[in-house]
Amino acid sequence: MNGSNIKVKNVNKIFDDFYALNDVNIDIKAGEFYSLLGPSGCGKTTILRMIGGFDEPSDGIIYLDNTNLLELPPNKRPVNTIFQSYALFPHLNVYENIAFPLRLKKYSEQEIKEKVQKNLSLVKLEEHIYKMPSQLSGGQKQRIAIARALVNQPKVLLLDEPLSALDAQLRQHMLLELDSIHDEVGITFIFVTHDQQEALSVSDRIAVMNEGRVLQIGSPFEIYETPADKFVANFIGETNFIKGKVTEVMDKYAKISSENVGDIYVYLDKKVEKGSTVHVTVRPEKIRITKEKPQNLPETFNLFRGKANKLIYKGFQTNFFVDVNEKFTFKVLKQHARYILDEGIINWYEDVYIWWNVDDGFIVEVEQNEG
Amino acid sequence: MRKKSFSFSLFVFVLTMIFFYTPIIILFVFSFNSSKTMNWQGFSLVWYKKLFTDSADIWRSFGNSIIVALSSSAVATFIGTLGAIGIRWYKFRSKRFIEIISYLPLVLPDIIIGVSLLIMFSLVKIKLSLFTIFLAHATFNIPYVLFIVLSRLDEFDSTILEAAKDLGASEIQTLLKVIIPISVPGIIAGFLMSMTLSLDDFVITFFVSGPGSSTLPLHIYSMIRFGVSPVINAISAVMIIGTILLAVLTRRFYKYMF
Repeated sequence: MNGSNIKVKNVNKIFDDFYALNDVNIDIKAGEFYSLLGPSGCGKTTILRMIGGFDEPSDGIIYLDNTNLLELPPNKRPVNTIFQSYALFPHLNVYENIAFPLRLKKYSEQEIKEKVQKNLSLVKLEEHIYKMPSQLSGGQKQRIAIARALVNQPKVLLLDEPLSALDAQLRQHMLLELDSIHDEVGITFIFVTHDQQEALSVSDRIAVMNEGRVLQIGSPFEIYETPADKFVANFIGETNFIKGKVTEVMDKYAKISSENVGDIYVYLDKKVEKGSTVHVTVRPEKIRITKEKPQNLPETFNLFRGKANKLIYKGFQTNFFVDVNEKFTFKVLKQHARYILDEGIINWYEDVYIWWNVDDGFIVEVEQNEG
Repeated sequence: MRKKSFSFSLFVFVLTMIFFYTPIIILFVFSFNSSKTMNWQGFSLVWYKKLFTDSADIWRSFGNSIIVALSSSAVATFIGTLGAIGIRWYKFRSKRFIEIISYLPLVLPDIIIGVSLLIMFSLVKIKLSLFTIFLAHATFNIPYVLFIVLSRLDEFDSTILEAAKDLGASEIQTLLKVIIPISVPGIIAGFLMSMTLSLDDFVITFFVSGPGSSTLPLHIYSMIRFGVSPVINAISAVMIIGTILLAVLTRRFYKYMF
């Protein structure tokens, strides 16, 4: 493995009374593709800038392997950054941009040439070697920035929202490319983004942040399927939140009575007591929707009758908004395999059945019991 | 099919240009007049002959102007550039105050600058000479260079400085390999601007020049007091052509920038 691990330990960043970062602890393994995900202003970029050396924590330590990174100035750290604005040097052509760090280290002309060419081929831009940055498209600039950051052979690559300035299609493409570059060079990538899709699709692990705190650290699967709290559940993908009181606790499940929906059963992933108020999340794609009363239901399920009050047909899927008891609207997502042939078409304002497996509902938040 | 239409703004523009350039064209044409009066008597190069063979004092003051322009512009460009870089890209206390105070000479009337410099020079007992003119020109040119280089630096995102450091450059390497090179068009523009202002200046120079240290504008002024000589037309025409060549060269040079 060519990468290094990064340990962010008890890091705070305080402006007057405001905690930009609040006791942040992150362990990033060598060679990992690690994402810091959160809305803007959550502190993710601040952490990245601290690792890069452009910002200092108010207290706490950041280790790279076993060295204290904070004691090194940015130009002495074995990390390189891909900036959101690319930050290519406008007065240098592509070749000289990539050669910049090598010239500082006084490499020979021959070595520089070899290394520049190797890195240019890594990002597949060999034919643009003598162009000026102003002659390149956004995606090309991005790749040059990647080649330039990697030519130094850093232990860790920091990526600060590198795709946010690209259009949607190119973004998807660059994402895959980043992933394959990561596989090829094998160093640690720390990827800052506010886009949950980006984070989910490339990361080994994700730290979800909000208001200066790390809320959950886990694999994309864990973060999506078992969100630690209401914020994470809401931020990572769409979901339905049901608020209710626990009326019965069994060994695997709990019965929850909701004012709006009625009684539901939920998988017990947190300890709850009878009588406490909880928030339950069910992802829209976990809910099935049928016109007829469903057959072959699983052993444990929640079934409701509702009205499809709104639907958005998107070709490969349809989003339904189903009113239950005229009080609660469920978001339901249906993927189409063979829509017209196999599935009855559901029209606006039609009565439907919705149901989900009890194991697909989770308690994301337990409210403190009053009294 | 394009509809021909009367464009009012184009009309005003053309009128303005005519208004600007007619006097210059008249001056140019009359430099070839054989008579001393403003009546056209026929084409002649007599004034040019006089300018190039029999006008040692014009050329001396022209030489003075060039010496002062080159030296004061060089010094002003150096100080102004470093000032602009300092103000834009380094953090320090009272930065805002220094930025405003360095713009101030741009709006101060020349006559105040001239008088105050004269008072200062006589206080510290510096004899008025070409050197005092040089000091004065360097002083009033600094804010122009500062202003031009600052606006050049504003075109760039300061993250390229972070990128330079990120890639291993020290403070001084960042300055020499990134900041200065990208400022070059601004530095050149600032230098040319200073040259023009210095060659041009009358009011301030008038106060700080000593005996025998006349510049071209001062000399022309003193000549006019004895009646307009067409030799002035001739040297003006030479200077116009020189300026146009300089402007064309500058544009050529700019094309190779980014």
